[in-house]
Amino acid sequence: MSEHLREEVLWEAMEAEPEGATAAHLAGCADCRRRLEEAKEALAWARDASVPEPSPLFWQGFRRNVSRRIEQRERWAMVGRVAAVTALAATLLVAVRVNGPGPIPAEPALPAWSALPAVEDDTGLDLLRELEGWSSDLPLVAASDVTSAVIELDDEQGALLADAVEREFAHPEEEDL
Amino acid sequence: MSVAAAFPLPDHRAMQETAPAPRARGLRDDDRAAIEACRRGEREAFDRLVERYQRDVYRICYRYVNDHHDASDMAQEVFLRAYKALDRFRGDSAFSTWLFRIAVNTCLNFRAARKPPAEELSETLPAGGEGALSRLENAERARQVRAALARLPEKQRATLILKTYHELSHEEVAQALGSTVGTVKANLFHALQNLRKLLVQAPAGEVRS
Ligand SMILES: [Zn+2]
Repeated sequence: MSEHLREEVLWEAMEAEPEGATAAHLAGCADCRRRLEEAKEALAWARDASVPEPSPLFWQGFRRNVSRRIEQRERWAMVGRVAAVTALAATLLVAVRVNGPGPIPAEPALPAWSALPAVEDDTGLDLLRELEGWSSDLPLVAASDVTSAVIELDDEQGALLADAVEREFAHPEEEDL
Repeated sequence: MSVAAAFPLPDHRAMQETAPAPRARGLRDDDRAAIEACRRGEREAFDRLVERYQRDVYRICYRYVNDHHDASDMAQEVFLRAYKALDRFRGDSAFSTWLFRIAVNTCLNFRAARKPPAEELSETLPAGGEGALSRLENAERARQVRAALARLPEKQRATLILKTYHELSHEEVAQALGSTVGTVKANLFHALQNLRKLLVQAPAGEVRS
């Protein structure tokens, strides 16, 4: 007997009556026959092992909790949007104060002595930068871009921001079921 | 879900299999209706989906961790993730398949290990060898098997749970686990070998991954 049957082939032999080379090998190899029989026995035990059914009250509480947690997430998503608008507005304000009312350059250059943070040093924006897909193209530089960025904040971005905000605060304890 | 559907759902009738299957392979009409309602912003529609699939999801999680409280937390998390991702469900599989995939990923991400498994394997088992497990009362044997299942290597565990208890096809399991059909089959056989080893030979839990 050169090589024993591979596990993949043995599984197939459990699902359907083996044929051809597999059947021939099994007929002549007590080792593979034993492995097959043992696996069949384990599968029968596994199939018999049901999960204890929780009470109907548990399921009521379960659905209530899911529903409540969705509401919480949506509230955080709203908080996230407000935070985003605030952060963007603050950035705009900084940009306007630094550059005056004229056209705003893409990367406002501040003198080394300035008390005002450069946009890229603004820690308030770290939250936004952490968000996947936002890092490279945050539209923070011109008033019209800011407006469109706020308008274009979709559900997923809002939810991402909400998650980031949520991590910043203590997560409220879930009530026990 | 406050925005309109990002993806229209494909026609169910075109996806239905002709032969009756133990589990719907395509998108069920009532699931489609609930998903479309969710996308219109009707939150109660999601409650219907939760009610329909709560047991399946809970059982996947329970079998994975063998603990009621952890399974309950994880199952809730599965539905939260599903709600959040609902706009990305394309409707090209049964909703249950998509949901089970989220459940398995949630299980695989479950790193907390907040407490040791609630049910340890009995140390008295191996003395009796193979016959001992067969002689156990059904309930006790089920308890032992659940505990052993929760000690399998993670991918083997997830594979065995999805295939054995939730009737996913090899292809669906492979998709859920980012694997191949061949690997799924091999993992199923390894899982059974290890399960048996845990139950009749090695109470300390030395298993091959
Ligand atoms: Zn052999």
